[in-house]
Amino acid sequence: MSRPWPLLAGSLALCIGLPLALAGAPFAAYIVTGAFLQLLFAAGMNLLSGYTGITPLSFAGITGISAYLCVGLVMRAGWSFWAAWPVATLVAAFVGVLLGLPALRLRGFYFVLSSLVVQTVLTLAFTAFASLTNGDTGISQIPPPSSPFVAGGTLGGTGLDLLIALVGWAGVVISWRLAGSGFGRRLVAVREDPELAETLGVDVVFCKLAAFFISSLYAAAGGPLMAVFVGFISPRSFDLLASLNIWLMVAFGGQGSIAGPLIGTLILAPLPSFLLGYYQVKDIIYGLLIITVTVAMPGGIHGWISNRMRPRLP
Amino acid sequence: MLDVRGIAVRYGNFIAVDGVDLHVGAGEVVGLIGPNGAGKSSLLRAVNGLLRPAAGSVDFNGARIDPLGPAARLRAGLASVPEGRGIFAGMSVAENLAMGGYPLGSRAQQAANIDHACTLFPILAERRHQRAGTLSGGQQQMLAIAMGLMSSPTMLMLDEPSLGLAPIVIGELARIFRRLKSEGLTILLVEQNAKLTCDVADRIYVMQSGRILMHDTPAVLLRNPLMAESFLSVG
Repeated sequence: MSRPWPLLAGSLALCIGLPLALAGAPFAAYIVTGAFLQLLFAAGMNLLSGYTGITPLSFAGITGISAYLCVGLVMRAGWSFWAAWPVATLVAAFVGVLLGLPALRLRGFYFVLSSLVVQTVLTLAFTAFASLTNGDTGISQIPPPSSPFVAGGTLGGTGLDLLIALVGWAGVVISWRLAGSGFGRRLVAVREDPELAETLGVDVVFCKLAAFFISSLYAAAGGPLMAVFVGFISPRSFDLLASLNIWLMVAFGGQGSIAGPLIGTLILAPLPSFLLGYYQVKDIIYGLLIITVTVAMPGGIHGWISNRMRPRLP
Repeated sequence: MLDVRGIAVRYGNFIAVDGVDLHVGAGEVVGLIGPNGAGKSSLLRAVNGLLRPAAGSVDFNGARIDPLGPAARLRAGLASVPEGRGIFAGMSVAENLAMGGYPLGSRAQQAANIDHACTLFPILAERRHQRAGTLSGGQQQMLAIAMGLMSSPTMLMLDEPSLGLAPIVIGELARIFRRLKSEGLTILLVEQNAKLTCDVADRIYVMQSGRILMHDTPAVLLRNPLMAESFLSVG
């Protein structure tokens, strides 16, 4: 894109305007802010799963580590949210890199399996270390962050919605800049043919670890935001299904493109809110979608559309 | 320029390369031929750094490069074109060339190398924005060679560039190798196509079952009955 500024300014205006416009409609604002949070996750998942070709089903686990750590620092150690958020994010991102180490050895499906095991172990850990996480009951009444502007005030409601919208926007923009950079092209090279990439002088190990770190930063940055936004976290918030849902948004929209996860998130993120009374139906729909995407639309909606628009060769 | 001494490559108990010595002088085109499974590709991968040899040393321009990784060997001026269309099919021709020039860092040098590649292979200039996967087999091989040249190497190693190409395209490859040699590039050509190799190489190593069977100029090898029988009949 040669002239990104109108699009950047327009989307930024939308991200600021939407929460403000919905200030009087809490339910709609809740759905929209939830979607922005998912947008952040999808952008991070896409960098690894779409561009680098490594699908981490332990993604939500990283979010969980960051969320529990931040909530613990705030509620037990009395830290300010603004100090706990970056610390928890960094720690969880480093853990994410460690858990990503198998990707240096395992390819494709085998790494997916290993990350599934990691995710399961993390979920078990969130339940098992009840003294830290309050186990299956979860932690409720998580206080909102203190207001950065008003002394003694809190950042809740529309203010928090704005913060999350801006972080989601920044996440997408950063992923777009990364994808278009030489680094992004090297990630694609690693995905397409790691051996050829290595022959051409690409440090494949570094690229994979860097992609893991950045993607984990996305997963981790969203955890504390999710905690203060919902006000409640439990192991279920960060289980395998949560990871799969994020992957589905990316894959359904179209992996390895910037528009794809945007489309996928816009369609799928609000879905659970409309199906509140029918929890099982949601899971069935998600399951059917996963099958549809993997079998019929490997390129997702974005891939399907751009395939149609590409001129046919004579 | 390139001195390979006593290189051995093992896969588990299987010995693919069993103590090979090989020398390539500056400005030379040296061929390495042999049947399938002779260990040619394994030897090449030990030289370009994709594989750690079990024994032996590799010197390039008088310095040992075998402890280095592939990227450092590339920066030292030793580039290679892997077997079978070494391109990224989903990327455009221009993006592929940029990937090849990635170790350069300098944009000006990269642009100059793209220009050079386009004079060598005019078709690539025409197809710049086309997806590399949609090129013909011959064009894909040209692109792979152009990518190998993008890092401004002083020596280029090619693994079976003629694989699966039509005879007319193989003739084109021979013309390109001669031109690259005249520009001062040192070339190690790993091939099964003995005819192409005899056409362009100054010296040829013949490899079989992980060892160098013989080594001489094409003219002498062509008179060798054993050589003619085992390799040239297929070419």
